[in-house]
Amino acid sequence: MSERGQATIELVAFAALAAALAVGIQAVLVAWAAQGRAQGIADQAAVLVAEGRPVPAQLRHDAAIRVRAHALVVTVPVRLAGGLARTTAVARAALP
Amino acid sequence: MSERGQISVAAVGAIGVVLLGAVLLGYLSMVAAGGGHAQRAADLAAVSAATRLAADPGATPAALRELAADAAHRNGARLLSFTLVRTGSVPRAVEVAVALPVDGGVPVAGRQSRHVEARARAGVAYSATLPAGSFRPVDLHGGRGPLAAVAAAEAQVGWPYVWGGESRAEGGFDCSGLVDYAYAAAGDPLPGRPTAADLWHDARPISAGELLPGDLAFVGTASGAPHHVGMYVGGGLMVVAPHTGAEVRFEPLAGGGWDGFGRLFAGAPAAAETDAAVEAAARAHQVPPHALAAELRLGLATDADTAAVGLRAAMRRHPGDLAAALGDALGDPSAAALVLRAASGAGLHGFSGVVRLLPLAAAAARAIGATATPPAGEDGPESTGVLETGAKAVERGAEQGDHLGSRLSLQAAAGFKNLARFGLTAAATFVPNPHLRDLSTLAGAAWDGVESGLAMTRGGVELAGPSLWAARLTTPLGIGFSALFAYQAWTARRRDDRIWYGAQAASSALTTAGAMTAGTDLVMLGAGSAEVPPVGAALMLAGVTILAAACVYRERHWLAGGAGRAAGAVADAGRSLADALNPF
Repeated sequence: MSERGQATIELVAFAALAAALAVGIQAVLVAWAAQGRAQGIADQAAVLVAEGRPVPAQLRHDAAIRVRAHALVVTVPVRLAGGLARTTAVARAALP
Repeated sequence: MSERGQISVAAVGAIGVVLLGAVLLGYLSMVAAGGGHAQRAADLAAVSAATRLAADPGATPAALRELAADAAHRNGARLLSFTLVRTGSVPRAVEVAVALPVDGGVPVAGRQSRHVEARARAGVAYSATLPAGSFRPVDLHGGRGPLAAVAAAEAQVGWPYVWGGESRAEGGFDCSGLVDYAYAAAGDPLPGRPTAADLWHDARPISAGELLPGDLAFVGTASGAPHHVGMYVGGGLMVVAPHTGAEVRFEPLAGGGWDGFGRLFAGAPAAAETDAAVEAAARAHQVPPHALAAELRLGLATDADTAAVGLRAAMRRHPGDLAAALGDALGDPSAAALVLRAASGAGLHGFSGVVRLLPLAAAAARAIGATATPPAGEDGPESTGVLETGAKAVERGAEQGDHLGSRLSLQAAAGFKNLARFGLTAAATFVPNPHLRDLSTLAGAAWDGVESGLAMTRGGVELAGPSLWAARLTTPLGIGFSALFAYQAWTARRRDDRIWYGAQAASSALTTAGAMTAGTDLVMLGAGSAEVPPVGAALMLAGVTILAAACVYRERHWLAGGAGRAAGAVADAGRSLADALNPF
């Protein structure tokens, strides 16, 4: 193989690797943001529930809040890679 | 190396840097989230204790502390302090401080875990509504008979006179209605709905000199059908519902036209458990003694006369509404609710408490412990109504956010500190200039040396979370690198290389040995933390000291040249300055 051909293969491989890396980093960032949001909602909702107040609708927007006996679980859906993959960010708070 | 090879190395290096950045980003987020978790634990601990306090104002500080500790523990934190804030005996709020372990150290040698502290304050606002269908209930402490009837009658002071009145629906009492109500409340209901004449006929006549509390006095007995009746309460005073336009009140026995006296129940009443000063003040100022006694019992007033004057003035402003009058007199609906609760006993059904997180103001409640009592007038939480206002909610949110933000900034500082340390590692690996690489290694070794020294003085270091996993990963790598450097030192031809690789081998071996002093927790993957003892920190310190010395030795000529150049530059600058200042 010529030196140019070898360089082309290396370039393509590097581009593919860089693209995969970019997608991976984007997924990490999206998941990170969703986790932060779930934690924030859990923080607010847990205090409201503990105070005996209802959880306002804006906190429930795009997030599922479940209150069990002594725990509050917040689930935020996460769409990765433009919706090709889906997962959830979950945050929990132990209620009094 | 060829140009292509250099490009490949650079590409791999760039990818490595990006990966390292991503890892650091995630690590920073985790560190920053620790502050938020601590605040949540503090909030829930405070709300947990305050909720119990709302349901039971008499809950002991020990019981409340236990609840707060449990709530903090279940949210991953440890309760540091608990304060019950009271005014007199009226609970106002609980304030807690918690600590939550957060990873924030350097994987090589520094502290691996720190504790984020967070504080929270939850206020309790009580409210009470007297029953709409009956007159004022009074806590008779299980008592019955004439004295209980006196207490029940006195508690109605201030109700308007209503002819024929005997129920709340009628809005007040007439004279016989008050007596009928009082004896019914005391557990001795009279038959039917007796009029004054009926009571005269039912009572056993006695003389004025025989009067005891609970006995009745009549007007108009000469006709055989008296038209007015009152209840003797002792001390030469009656409690009566006098006439239209007046309120239930205390009146002196003498000069009231009382011409007949009777006793409904045989036997002398038991000794009264009343405070003479309270009774005297209540009778002098026409206020219900049970409310006045509760005020003093709860520490909301110290002088019965002063409190009675204030309550009387408030009752004039709120006729027929003791709850509102107490709130007005005390300036605090929450305290008024507790007074009503203490005064009314089980008859008060509309008692409740509301819990809200409060801002941690600079002048926040001081710690008063379990027994100490703060001076009266200490600021308490806002009343329920104020708490509900949007302005307060915004203020509270802003202050809590500010509080949380300060915690997060501390965590961010810890994270950036780690970022700087990782930056030195990256520089020691990727910087093209070999002298600068060695300088970065030297700086990193100095950093780790300081951290190891601090760990020694602090009695070791706890590894947890990512730090523990980093130690688990670097320990086998350290063993491998020690062997590799030792081999390179053995095969090196130049003396300087033998010293450099030998020092690196010794450094790596000592640092790894230091980490291994954490024991089996380092290799037991289920362990959540591992403790490196001071001797391990000392080994790490020795290792990084050897590495630093080797760096200095290897770069001695470059460093000396740099020092010489720096000295020359300083000398040149001095000469230039002297020339500039010398006019000749």
